Amino acid sequence: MTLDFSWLADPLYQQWLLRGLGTTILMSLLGIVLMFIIGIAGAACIHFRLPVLETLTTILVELFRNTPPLVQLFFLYFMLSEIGLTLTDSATGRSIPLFSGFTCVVLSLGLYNGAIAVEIIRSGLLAVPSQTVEGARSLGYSRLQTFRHVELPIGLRMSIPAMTNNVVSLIKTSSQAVLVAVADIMYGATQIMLETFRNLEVMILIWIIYVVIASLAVVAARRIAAAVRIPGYGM
Amino acid sequence: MNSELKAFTFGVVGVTLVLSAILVTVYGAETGRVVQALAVRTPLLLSGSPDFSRFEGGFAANIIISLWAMLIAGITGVALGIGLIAQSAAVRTPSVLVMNILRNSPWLVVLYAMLYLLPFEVDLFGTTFFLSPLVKSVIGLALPVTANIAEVFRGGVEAIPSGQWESARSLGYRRLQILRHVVVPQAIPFMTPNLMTTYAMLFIGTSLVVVTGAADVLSVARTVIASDGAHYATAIYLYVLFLFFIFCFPIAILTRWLERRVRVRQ
Amino acid sequence: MTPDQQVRPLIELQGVHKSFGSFPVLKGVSLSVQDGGVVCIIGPSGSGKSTILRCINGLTPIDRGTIRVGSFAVETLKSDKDLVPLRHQVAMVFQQYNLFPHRTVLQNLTMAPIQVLGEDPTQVRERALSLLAKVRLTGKEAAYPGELSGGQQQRVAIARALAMQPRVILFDEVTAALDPEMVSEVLSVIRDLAREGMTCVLVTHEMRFAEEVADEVFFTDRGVIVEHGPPSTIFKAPGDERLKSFLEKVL
Repeated sequence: MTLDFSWLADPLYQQWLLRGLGTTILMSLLGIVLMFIIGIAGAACIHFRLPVLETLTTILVELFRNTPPLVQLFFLYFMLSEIGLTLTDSATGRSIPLFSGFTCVVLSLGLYNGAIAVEIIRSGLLAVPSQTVEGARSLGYSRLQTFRHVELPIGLRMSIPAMTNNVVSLIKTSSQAVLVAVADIMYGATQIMLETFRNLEVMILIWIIYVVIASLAVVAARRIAAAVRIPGYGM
Repeated sequence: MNSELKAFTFGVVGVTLVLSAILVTVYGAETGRVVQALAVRTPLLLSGSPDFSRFEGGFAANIIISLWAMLIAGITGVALGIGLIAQSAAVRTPSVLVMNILRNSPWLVVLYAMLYLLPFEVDLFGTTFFLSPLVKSVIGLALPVTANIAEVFRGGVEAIPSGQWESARSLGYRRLQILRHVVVPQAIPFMTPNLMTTYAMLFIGTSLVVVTGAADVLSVARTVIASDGAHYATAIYLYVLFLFFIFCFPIAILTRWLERRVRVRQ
Repeated sequence: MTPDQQVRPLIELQGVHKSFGSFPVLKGVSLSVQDGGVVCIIGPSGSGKSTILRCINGLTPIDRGTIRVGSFAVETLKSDKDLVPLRHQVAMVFQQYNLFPHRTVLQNLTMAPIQVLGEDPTQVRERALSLLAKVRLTGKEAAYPGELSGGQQQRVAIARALAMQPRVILFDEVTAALDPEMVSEVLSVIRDLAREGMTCVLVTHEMRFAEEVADEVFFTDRGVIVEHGPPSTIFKAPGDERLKSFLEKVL
């Protein structure tokens, strides 16, 4: 079996791959932002024991963590068009979904990895020593101020290792965008496969690209961890 | 078990209510008819056959694939895990490299790659093995899970105090013997919850085998949608979500219970 | 009696009861602290000494009785918003320092005055620097708590309490977690404060120190104040049997 990568020299294919790579990275970055928003907001709902919201968050976290992100994506994609959130394209007269595949992927990444982030941040908050919290309370910090200035900064730092895994998982999961026809790097790859039939070679290249992106994310997370490390605090 | 039992009841009831609420919101007055349609399609989604006569497709296929993949990944994972803790750098360095690559690979890409890498059939010991999509799915999932299991193995072994190694060595045990007779038996309680989490993750990952053409629950769901109409898509995917949840959630709860027990015993 | 002690005390506890679950910790504690006074609370472990301090600044709500600090009726303050002005006046120093590990020494001092009291950052900073000089930690501004010794951390904690410009400081066994050679550096900082007229309430096991700095000593056992008086009486001529046997054990 010989591998043939000569198709990589074709500028058109290079362009498809680069464009797809851009989409994949953008999707992942937006997903990460949404993941953090959901993670912090959800953890806060549980932390402050907000009535109704605490229960709802707990249930949704269990739901999203224990079901496949792919099914969540399909569900989101079809439900949002089913409940009529569609626009009518003035040129063709066809109705197109208001939420594009891209939006659905970002939403589903944010929800799935966000649900995991809720748990991660929550256990980070639980790991903040109660004496430190008490120190803040004795200085007159309100619960919200204590959360913002003391618990969250320390808790988030403690959750960096688990959060790094979660971010890598999010980047990997983003590859399923191709299944709702988002033009990400996997989509570019399938297009090239259709034209060149070098299926294995294309997949190996995509595999390498994902491993590189994920590894870069890990390196970035290590840099962040080092930058915000608390000197003299066993972390 | 008390607090976990409470969380379990709470989760099952809560998730069922949430999913039902979505169903009613989406379908309104039609809900009754949609539920009926789901009931008719239940045997197909669960077993791949219209009357539960066989269990080789649908959700049953996901379970079968996950069990085989776990079995294979268990063996390869422990082998890679032993490589990770090897003393010789010639073994350890490549093991770490392989683990990092596998850990950072999207499962979907690995599945696609296996689809194209693995031949249609292989000759082994004079017998021809037919590599069905199901077999390719099993291999494609077992590969990345190998990294997870290796990591769990290493974590469990490292949780055992070094004094155990020293005392066993002073009794004349060799490295692999120490692992087998002294360290691993003690590490199993630490590894079990993490192995269960890995299995739940693997099971969730079986949703991806839809791309290999195996007759898994998502493939069946897509066939059903194609024949019954896109109108039912939301309901069917809700149903599939529920199936996965009802399978994975008890595992998650059991894992939490085991973790708590391990912590308490320490 | 000096005229000083006839004015209304700064802190007054009357008949304070507190139970944790079904376990009564305080069973009718009454005590008072004059403005500028130094009060030490001594007694065996589990006698409720620390709980008294925690009730005074509202960290632990009480079941029955009254606590007055200045013009505040502590038992009526329930929400955070009500408790903030009280905590402005009552600072607390803990056995485990309870510093913020993610902030530098200087930030530990300036955070609360800026974020809670809304004071001017430049002024707070100047005050913090002079307080660090006072606890002999000049040069450690940029260090993190985890990089300091226990004695140094505890002095930062005292400076942090002072940065709030409180009327009274509560010291909760502040030397109990320290190595013996660090105890004296912390005690000398507290001694300076006491001499300058800062109102101090100390829960302590350092009997010699209590004898030296206290204006009044309270002995607690099993949730009640068994005996109180000037240190000369408490330590040299104890009346109660329980106090006598306690002193025999610790002195």
